[in-house]
Amino acid sequence: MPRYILKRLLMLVPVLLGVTFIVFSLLHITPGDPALIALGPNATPAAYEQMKKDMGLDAPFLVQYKRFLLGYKHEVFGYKGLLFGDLGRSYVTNRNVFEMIMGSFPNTLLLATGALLFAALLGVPVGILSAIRQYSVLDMVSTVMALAGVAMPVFWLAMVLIYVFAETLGFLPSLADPRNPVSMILPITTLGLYSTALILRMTRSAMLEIMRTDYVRTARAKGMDEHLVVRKHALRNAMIPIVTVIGLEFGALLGGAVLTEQIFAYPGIGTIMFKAIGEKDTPQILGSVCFVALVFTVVNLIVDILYGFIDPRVKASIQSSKSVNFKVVWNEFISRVRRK
Amino acid sequence: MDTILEIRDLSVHYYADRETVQAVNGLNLSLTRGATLGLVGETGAGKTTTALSILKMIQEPQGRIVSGRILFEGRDVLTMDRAEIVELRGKEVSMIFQDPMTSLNPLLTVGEQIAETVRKHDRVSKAEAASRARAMLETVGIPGGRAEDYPHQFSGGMKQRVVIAIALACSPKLLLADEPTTALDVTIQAQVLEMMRSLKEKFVTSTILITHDLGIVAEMCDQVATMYAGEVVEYGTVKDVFDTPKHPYTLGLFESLPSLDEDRDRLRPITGLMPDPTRLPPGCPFHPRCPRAMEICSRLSPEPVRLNGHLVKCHLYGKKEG
Amino acid sequence: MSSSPGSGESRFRRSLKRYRRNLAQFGRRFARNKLALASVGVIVALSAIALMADILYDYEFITTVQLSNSFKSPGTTAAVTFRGETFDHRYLLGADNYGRDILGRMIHGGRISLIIGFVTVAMSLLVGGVMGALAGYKGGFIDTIVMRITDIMLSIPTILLSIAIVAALGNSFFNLLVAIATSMMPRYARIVRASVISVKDQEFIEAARCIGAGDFRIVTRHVLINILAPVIVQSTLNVGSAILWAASLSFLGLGILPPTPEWGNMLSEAREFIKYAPHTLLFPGLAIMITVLAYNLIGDGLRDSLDPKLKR
Repeated sequence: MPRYILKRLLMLVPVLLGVTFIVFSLLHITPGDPALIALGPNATPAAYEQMKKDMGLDAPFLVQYKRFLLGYKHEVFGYKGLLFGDLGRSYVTNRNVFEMIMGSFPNTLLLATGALLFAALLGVPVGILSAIRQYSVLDMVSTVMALAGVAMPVFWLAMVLIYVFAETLGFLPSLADPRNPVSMILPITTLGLYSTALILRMTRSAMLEIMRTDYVRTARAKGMDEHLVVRKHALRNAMIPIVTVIGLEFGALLGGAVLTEQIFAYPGIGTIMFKAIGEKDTPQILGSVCFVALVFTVVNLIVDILYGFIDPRVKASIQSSKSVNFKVVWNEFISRVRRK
Repeated sequence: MDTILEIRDLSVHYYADRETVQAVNGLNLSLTRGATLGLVGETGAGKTTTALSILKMIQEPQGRIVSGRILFEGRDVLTMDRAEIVELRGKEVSMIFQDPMTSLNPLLTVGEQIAETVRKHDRVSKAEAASRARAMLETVGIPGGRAEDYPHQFSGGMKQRVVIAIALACSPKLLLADEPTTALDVTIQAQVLEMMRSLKEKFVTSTILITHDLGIVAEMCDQVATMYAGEVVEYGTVKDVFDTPKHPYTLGLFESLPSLDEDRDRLRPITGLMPDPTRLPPGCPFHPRCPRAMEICSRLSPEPVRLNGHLVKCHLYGKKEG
Repeated sequence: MSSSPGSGESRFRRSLKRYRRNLAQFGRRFARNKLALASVGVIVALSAIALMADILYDYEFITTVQLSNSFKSPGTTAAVTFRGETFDHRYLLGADNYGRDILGRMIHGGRISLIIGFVTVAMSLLVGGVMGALAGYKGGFIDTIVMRITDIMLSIPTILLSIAIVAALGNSFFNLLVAIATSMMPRYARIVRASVISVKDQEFIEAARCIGAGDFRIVTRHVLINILAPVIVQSTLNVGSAILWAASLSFLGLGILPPTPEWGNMLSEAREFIKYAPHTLLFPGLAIMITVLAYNLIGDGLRDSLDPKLKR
């Protein structure tokens, strides 16, 4: 197992390099000249050239990318590089980018985790119930709600909830603060509802699919009580795709948090990033996007490894380190998730 | 003779896309205690549906038992409540399914899958159930130590042995085996059948063996029932039916087989296809394919006729009506 | 049935018949799905309205500020001044903060959303599809490269990727299209690759190769037909997603900016006035929801009728 995890971590390296490269290239072509912004419009050409040199912007693209990863030596603008946990300083606030991210990311994590818990605790049980009682009233209602939930823009839902609970009824605040649990109710609900819909639909269809399998039929034919058939035979198997979708949703929630944070003026990484985009603060944008992508990838890896504990087939292929088999199983789940 | 199972007028329908699939239509069948009955017929003849009905396992609302009675030791299975039926399944009537590859839960060890049925029906401790599961594995020719293994670690033939072990774990009185060897290699088939026969002697279980392989019927069975479009069209002892098949469909089945004894130039398959079960023809369902069909066959469904020891549902042998 | 002369042709006839029957079956199954059918109706109606946008509401009119009519409630009639003339105008769904007609802005916004939906899907399908087809059909090195690229793209949350692209390329309609199409592209690459791999080793491909068909012919004539179903389903769902993402980006001020009407930026403008004028918030949001819901339902319906095994 440890060898396997190590192997997977190593496989992460090229992916993360790719992510940083894409984001770095994107921001490289961004219009707006940081040197000009730093100096203001009245800079002399000589000062401008000097500034460009100081900021390291005169170097070729690949050299700049290398510096981003491995560091750049300069008294004012130098930094240790991404690999050493130093992403340089913000052009606007001159604060350390990594510290800014670390200051706001826990808030985003709190929001996303809350939303994920909300979604899983609501979506999984309701999904199971509507699969067991297919075509019941609960099934119909939850299906309609889930369909509407997926189609609803998060930011609109947020505003509707603000209108109803904050503006009209007035018992929930419309601005969120990580130190005030009550103020977290609306953002967590907003962000969580979309994932609830997805998790519910996934749970329902996974359960339905598994309730029709031969081994569930075998369990019934053995005389197992129905609740045991559901719990021991169906649910455990259904948990595999459910865990996948929950894991993937966590990543989506980190992305969705960007929008939610905006609306509730919540001090998370999305807010920082947005401010940076508005101010063309390249190091800050670069750092935030790379950081979120990093967390997203690591979460997916953790979901991956979790399979090993649920599914003996995967565990076996891990132990015999035949990751080929594992890949097949994984791809099958992914395609199943996509299909739903 | 002691009858363990009697099915009377069983009809089962499935409902799909607004069409009604008439899977089983007025089926009658009885099984003597300790005997093995072969249920033969083409795919879609309603064999599996009949077996599932005996366990009251027709999935509603897609499927429904429309009419009939299934008397197991005199008790009607179809009127049993949930608690009674759960006691029946696996304890008194067990079923072996066709595909061993998908019949086992991939997330549970095979030992656990045998033990849970023992624990459920014989109310023994966890340790006791586990040791009985190991013993059961050894009975079907698998080392008891493999009880901790998961299904994916077994081959197809081994998996089917595990499935058989599950089915026999509580010494059921009736075993329903739905094409237990179809999914296996021919060499493995023989092994599994041989094992089933010896186990049957050991457990004295009555068996319904569903198959479309007449060779297996000849090997394993005492009685045979031929099914066509959800009805039993011929029923009798294997000797009677094999020596003197009466129903044109049964005859057709034999003629479509290659034979080692006779010199045949060419196989004679039954022409045509099984009728669409959503639109069964009126009268005898076999008449559109029957080489000896008469005018009456398309009008009237034949009544079963007793002919020297076996039952035939065909107008050729009945009293001719105007 | 024994082989008889001319059985080649009869086999062809039979397969043609089967194909027609499958198509008819698909049609019947789809027609039975009331929700999907109603959704087709909704989309046709919305598209028709969007196409007639210029006839229904003058673009200049719905972008002209009428400050005296700010936040008029739905259904009120008020005097407006436009091109030097003053006349009475009925605000069917009310007016926004600048006194502009909400319904008219929604209709023109709907046209933009429709264009975004279709153009981005076409773009990503073209690029992603070709990438996936190449990867699946050729395998080996190309496959590895393409799959690594999609891996990398999929490890950036979609909305974040779109935001980064628009932020980098700058606010413009075309860049919005590029951003959304790029974010959807890896999905197509994966789906097409998986479908190509699943059909490429089947016997009919082997048979085609045996009678000397070239790669191009095999891909276009045999493989494409067989991967059509999953691609159509995915595309229908993607039109919905694209509309949703476009609205989200515009809401954030990336993408289509006011005064050009777009559902997302209408909501962005309404945001400050939730308390005073909830109708400015309600209608554009409902429009997004209904459109996306309809595309999702059609996609689900198509999937169920193309592959009934997945249903129930």
